[in-house]
Amino acid sequence: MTGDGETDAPGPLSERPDDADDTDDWRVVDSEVVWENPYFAAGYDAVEGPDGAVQRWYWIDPADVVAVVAETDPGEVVVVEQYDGRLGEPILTCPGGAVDDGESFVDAGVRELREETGYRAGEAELVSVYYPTAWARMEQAVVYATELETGDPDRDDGEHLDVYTATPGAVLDALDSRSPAFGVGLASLLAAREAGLLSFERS
Amino acid sequence: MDEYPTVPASAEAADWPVLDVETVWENAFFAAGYDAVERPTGDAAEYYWIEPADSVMVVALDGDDLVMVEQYRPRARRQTLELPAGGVDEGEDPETAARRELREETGYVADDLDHVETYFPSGWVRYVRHVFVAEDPDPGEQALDDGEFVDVTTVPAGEAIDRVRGQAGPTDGGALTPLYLARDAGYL
Repeated sequence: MTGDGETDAPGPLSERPDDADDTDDWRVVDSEVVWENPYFAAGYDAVEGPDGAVQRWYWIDPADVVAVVAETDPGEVVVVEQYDGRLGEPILTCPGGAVDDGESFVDAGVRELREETGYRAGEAELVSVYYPTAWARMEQAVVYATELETGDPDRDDGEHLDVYTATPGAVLDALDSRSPAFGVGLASLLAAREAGLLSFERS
Repeated sequence: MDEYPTVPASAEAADWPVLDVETVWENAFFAAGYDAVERPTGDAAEYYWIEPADSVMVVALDGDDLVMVEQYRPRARRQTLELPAGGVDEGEDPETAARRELREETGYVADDLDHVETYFPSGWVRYVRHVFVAEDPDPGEQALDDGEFVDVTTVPAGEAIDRVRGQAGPTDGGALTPLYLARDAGYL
């Protein structure tokens, strides 16, 4: 039911997938935007279920985002720490940010890595795409970047962040030590390890 | 009750002064609004958020199998394979919520739950997920709400991540990240 928690919120698909079940037991009867701000719209879909009851499924629709697992030549991983005004605390995670309209996940990852940290990536590949929370119709991509050259970052006015490098195991320990941890950083490193791109042990 | 972390930090504890908090919309599942925050440069900026209930995700292992649930997702218009999960009720201990959701959705009754991680999945959403592992819970009867359609299934634990990633459509981070964390902690 819609009342039980986040997994009962709508998924991020705003369009019907080509290979969807064609049973049509569930029907979207209405879609309303209730609030729009510079970063997302918030609203709900009214969906009629197989029992004929209509329920509201609430969502927001921020831009897709990318996180970059950037590995330096000595086998270290780049992390950034930045204060997050939404959460009222500093976040330690992989470099990354919002994907621009029409931009590929890999291009966005390479751009965000350069802007935030100054590292220019010679090689980059897409590792994983998932939706981090069922409340938000947004996708989270994980990009792995190597062949890094150092350079100047290109940050927005007032954007302040600290850049660190450390072995992947030490980075994961550091991410894990935050309470609460940021899931995107954890999932990005673990996805890169799962894909065989990073190899490390935890302390 | 153990102390579990959550987000956001209290306005009083925030490093950057919170000048104003506005709730613009409240629905049955979350509040939506923004904080006006003074940045170190002295200017004020608006930071937008939604705030639903915290949630629990359960990695339940029955021998070498992982207990999963299949549900029809109206937005995706298909069945999806997920972890037993749900919202933490007001005032409820997260471990109690995990035990309750596992029992309601799958029938499995867990005496002991291991807390693996508490993380926030997205900067836009002020809530955390608590990940618990239940080893060899006892099978029992589901207790679904009216209109809740949940099929219980098991998959070999070692294949669970590939099964979640291999489904049609975008991968469910609510299953993927807890499974990565459980594997990292030596469970899968």
